[in-house]
Amino acid sequence: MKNITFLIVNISTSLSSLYFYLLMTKELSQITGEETFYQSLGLGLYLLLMGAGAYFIRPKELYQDKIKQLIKLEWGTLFTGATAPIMLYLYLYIVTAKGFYAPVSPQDISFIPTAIIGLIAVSFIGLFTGAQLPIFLKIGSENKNVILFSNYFGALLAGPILNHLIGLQVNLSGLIFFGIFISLSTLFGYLYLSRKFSKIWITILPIILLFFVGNYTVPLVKSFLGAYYFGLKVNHWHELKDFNKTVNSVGEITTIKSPYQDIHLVREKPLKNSLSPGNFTLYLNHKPQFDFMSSPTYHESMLFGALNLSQTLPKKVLILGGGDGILLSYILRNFPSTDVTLVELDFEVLNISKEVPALIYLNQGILNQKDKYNLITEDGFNYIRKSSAVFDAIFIDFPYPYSDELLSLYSQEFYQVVHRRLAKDGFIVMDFPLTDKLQGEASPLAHRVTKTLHKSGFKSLLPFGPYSSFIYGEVNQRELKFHYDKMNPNLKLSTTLNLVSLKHLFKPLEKTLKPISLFYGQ
Amino acid sequence: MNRLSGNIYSFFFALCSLAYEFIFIKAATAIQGGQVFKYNLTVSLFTFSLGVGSLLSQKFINKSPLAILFRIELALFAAGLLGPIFILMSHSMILCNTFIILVGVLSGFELPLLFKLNEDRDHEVLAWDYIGMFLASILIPLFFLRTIGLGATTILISCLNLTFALSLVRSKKSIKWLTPVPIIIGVLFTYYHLEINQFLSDLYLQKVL
Repeated sequence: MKNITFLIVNISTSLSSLYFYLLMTKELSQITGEETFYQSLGLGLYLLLMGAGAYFIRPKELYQDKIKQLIKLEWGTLFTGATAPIMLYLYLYIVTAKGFYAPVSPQDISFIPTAIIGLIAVSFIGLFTGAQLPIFLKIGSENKNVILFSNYFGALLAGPILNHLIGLQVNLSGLIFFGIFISLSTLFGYLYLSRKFSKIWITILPIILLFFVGNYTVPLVKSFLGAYYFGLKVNHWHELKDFNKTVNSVGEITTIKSPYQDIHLVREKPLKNSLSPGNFTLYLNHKPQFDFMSSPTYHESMLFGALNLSQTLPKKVLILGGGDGILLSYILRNFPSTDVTLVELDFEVLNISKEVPALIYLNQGILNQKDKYNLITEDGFNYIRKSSAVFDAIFIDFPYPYSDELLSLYSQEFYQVVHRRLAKDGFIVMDFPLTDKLQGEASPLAHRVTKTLHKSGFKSLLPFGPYSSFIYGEVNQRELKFHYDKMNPNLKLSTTLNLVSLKHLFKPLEKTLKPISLFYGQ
Repeated sequence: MNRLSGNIYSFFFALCSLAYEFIFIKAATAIQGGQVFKYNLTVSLFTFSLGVGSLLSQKFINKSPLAILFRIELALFAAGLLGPIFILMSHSMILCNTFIILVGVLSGFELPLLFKLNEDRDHEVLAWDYIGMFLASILIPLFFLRTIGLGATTILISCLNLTFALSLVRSKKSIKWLTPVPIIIGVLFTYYHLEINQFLSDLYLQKVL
């Protein structure tokens, strides 16, 4: 019985440690959008400090003393793992609300201090965990293999459990609660192993942490989001206390956690005695996607700009991304007989676009009219890889490539497959921030994207849109230009002003410029 | 095995094992997307397979650990080198997960065998194992995969693995002079990283197009 308890405690020790580590790197990745960086550096530091812990620990001679060592180390993991996400949000809240960053909102979150806080926490979790394994190996020196196996088995459970809880829409405090629960169970396991139940006081720390997390996490995250999205600032430290009331008076933020991203719906209330009508903005992983004000210009430019350049009316259309349904509604409202297929990865984006009134207003409730379009809930790249259908037009509405993963949706492999799924006289149009607005010239990444498109067989390309920018492409070689005499007269003035070529901002393609690829270095 | 050799082997074998897993994550993301899920799944499968490997090693640990370690490293070299090619040719996640588990199980043999070869220095061997994995997790995704790409990184790491595998049996005269050859070949290949990656890209697209 004692042996089984020993193995279970070993499993729960590594489970709690890897769970806290994964939770911290998830928060860091989503706040900053730097998935690869945090996954790699986080795992690296975690392992390095595990090494340091394993190297420097000197297991005590007596069994009871070894258990005492294990209890102290578990306390360390628990305290660091449970408080680190709160410390991270406390830091972000204070610096954002005190206006230490740029005065505009939402501003980029300063990378280095965020990384330092997060990675120090991850390192400490690694250190405490690394020191635990040699003690376990010493206690069970007869069965080192079984101890290694059970330790690795605990680590196996952490990832699926965390993913499952996120899928159940558990918020940050709930996720931390679960970590504390595992650690608390581990501490009870140690009590059982040492047979010293009088030392029940060792469970006081987790109980205090449960109270602390339950009371402060949700208001803290809300305050940070309020400061981040609304640009609210405080002049004096004591104002931080009532910050949530200020946030509530300005607007409302709804958080939806999908397995792929954090979705924030930000409603700004109209201001009394002013001309501000309020706004509604959709953010994915803290990055803006569209808002009430700019949505018409963006979607009209994408659809009517492409049709004006093409001078054809596509019969079969594919939309990759665009799960908000707004582009779909523009197409079906203006060209009801078009055969449209919409491919969206994130089912939560589709759900909110069918249910949230502001989004239903923007997409005219088109997503609820299932007979009018084909919906595929799948990764866009996967879909076109597997599908054999050919389309007259492909609208690509992906997020900006903030991460390595999103950059793969701008790779030559992706565009070559798109090329194959396009009819001979078809076209593609994709949104992409083309210019570095401060410099007034095309950004280096925009150059690489056009080079990648060119290498993938799109011989004619036209970047356009000084306000909402796009790249239009065709397989056939021809001169592309806007036909202003044939422009739809019902377009908004802001759309018409946006339909301007930006080709002059692009220098001739450099031979040394590497196209984006799944396999080259990025 | 002396103290220095034990630590060096522990360091490099761990580095190569985790490097293979990062390479498989990259290949898996290429065939099916979803980097975050692939990362979590791979880390979980890998750690679990390490456990299975360490459990299985119990049967072999007392039968010439050095010879077993040499064979394990040769198998890892082959799996690491050929894995990405087969995954990209087949576009099969089942095959990809099989390679992840295979490399994990084989790597799981390493620590118990190294513990056996370095009696009473468990904590030191364990520490260098973690340090090797630390370097792999920094260098592979943040440097090698970004600069020389998937193909050249695979060749470089598997050649490094082969060099250290051969050095385990370098007392044999016929093998001694062969020891540095793989790593020299691996470094030479990095010069042609664009061509190697283009080959992988063509291989990948053959199935799709």
